[in-house]
Amino acid sequence: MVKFLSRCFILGSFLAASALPALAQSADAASAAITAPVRRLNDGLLGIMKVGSAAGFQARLSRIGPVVDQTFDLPLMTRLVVGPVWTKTPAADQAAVAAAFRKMTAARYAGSFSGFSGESFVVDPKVDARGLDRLVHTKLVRPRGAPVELDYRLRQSGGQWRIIDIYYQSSISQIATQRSDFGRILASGGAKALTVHLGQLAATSAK
Amino acid sequence: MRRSPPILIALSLAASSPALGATLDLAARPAAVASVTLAAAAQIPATAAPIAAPPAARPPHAKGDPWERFNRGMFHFFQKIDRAVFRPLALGLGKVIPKPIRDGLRNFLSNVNEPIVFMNDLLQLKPKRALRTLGRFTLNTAVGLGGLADVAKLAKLPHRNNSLGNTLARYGVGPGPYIFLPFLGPSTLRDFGGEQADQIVLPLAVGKPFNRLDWQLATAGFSGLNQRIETDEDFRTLLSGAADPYATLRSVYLQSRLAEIAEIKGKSSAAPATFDDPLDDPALQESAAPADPAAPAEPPADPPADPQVDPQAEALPPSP
Repeated sequence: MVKFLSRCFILGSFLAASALPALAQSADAASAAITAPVRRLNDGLLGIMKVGSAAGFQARLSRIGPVVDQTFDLPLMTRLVVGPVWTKTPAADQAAVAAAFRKMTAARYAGSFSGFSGESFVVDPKVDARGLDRLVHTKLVRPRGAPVELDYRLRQSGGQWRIIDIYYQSSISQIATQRSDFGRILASGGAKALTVHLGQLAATSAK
Repeated sequence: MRRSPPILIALSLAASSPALGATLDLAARPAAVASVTLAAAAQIPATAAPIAAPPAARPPHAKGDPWERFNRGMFHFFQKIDRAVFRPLALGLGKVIPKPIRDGLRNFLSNVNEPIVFMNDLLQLKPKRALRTLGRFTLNTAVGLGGLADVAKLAKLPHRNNSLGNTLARYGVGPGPYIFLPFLGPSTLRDFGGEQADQIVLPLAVGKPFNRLDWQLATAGFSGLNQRIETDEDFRTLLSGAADPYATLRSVYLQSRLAEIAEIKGKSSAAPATFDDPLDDPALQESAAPADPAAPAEPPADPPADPQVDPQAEALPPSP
């Protein structure tokens, strides 16, 4: 009896020992799938920072453009920024504002991340959840000055995790700030006016 | 931008770039925020207004900003003064007075304010925080040449601002209306009132030199100009690309205060307060809840963000 129990115990511990890493691995894998777009974006940003101003704006844009497309849910972000007016906007205007939003986002990255001086990104593997959304915490570590905290909010779309918002210093939501900033334009000129403004922003980034 | 040490308001780079280091120390005062109460307070009128009030009676302002017309006037007025006089004066002064001297003076004035921070730490029943503030004050006063050198920061006791605005928020007082005043910057009624009270403490408790007008003018003048110098680049980054700089600053300021209040209330600082906004997809909402202006999708920190609450947005003619 004692032997049987001890055998069970051994078997049990063996099972537990083999199962635990498997469980941990699957948790790690889930977390890795969520943080993957963020890491991919960070790698892309480091890439254009390193080619720097020598490569020129257009070269940086053509490198970061596909990364932005694959890591952000740009159509959803556009809808969130436009807000409830979205449903009253004709399809052609919806497509135009979404295209302008995409162009502006990529252009802003290509314009801002134009030099490298030893920066690095740290991605926290621990992911926060709120409903269906996940929050990935990252830090932009700079050789000089305090690190900049950047949190990414992700949502699943077609089985893929995509970034839908960025929180600067863990407190300022990009979507919320853009909603405020664009509120008047949308109120006076709708999605068409916003398309024009986003086009101007993209053009300014290219300078 | 008085003598009180500036709070660090983190400003996102307006649109997309999480650009490098755009912290804006705009901070007029120790106090400032939209507490979580804002969310609750703001949602009530948002629910009621569109149903109860006839369209013509709706006030022409964004949520949380009933004095928007006045505030916008003040903002544009200040922008003009800033461009013509204030910014050139500040930047010119920045060239004349070396940064180490300016930093020393700033540290000194910040150190003078630490007892107020300590008082608010205590009022908020945060003994550990109060002890750190006290330790910081003692160290800087004794070893840091009366506060000119921030030695406490090196001893892992960095400045952590606190104010009566935070204390009031801690005990459930909502932010009240948003206020923008020239030179004083963005605030809310609660935080503005809190700051006035904070500033009376030293003149009443200590007397000279804090109760002297020349002391107050000199320190307020120095702090304001120094802050303008230090925030110039961040300000430009934030507002140069903004379609509506007034609304952008308001949004960023209120979000930043919301985060500070959440920290004071001991909420896990792991997730930003605005993460609670479900960010419902408007395209999906159409079928689910066609026109519910009180949809919980409202961003709590961002009164102007919801076009459904903005009367101008509601008056928007459908695009052709």
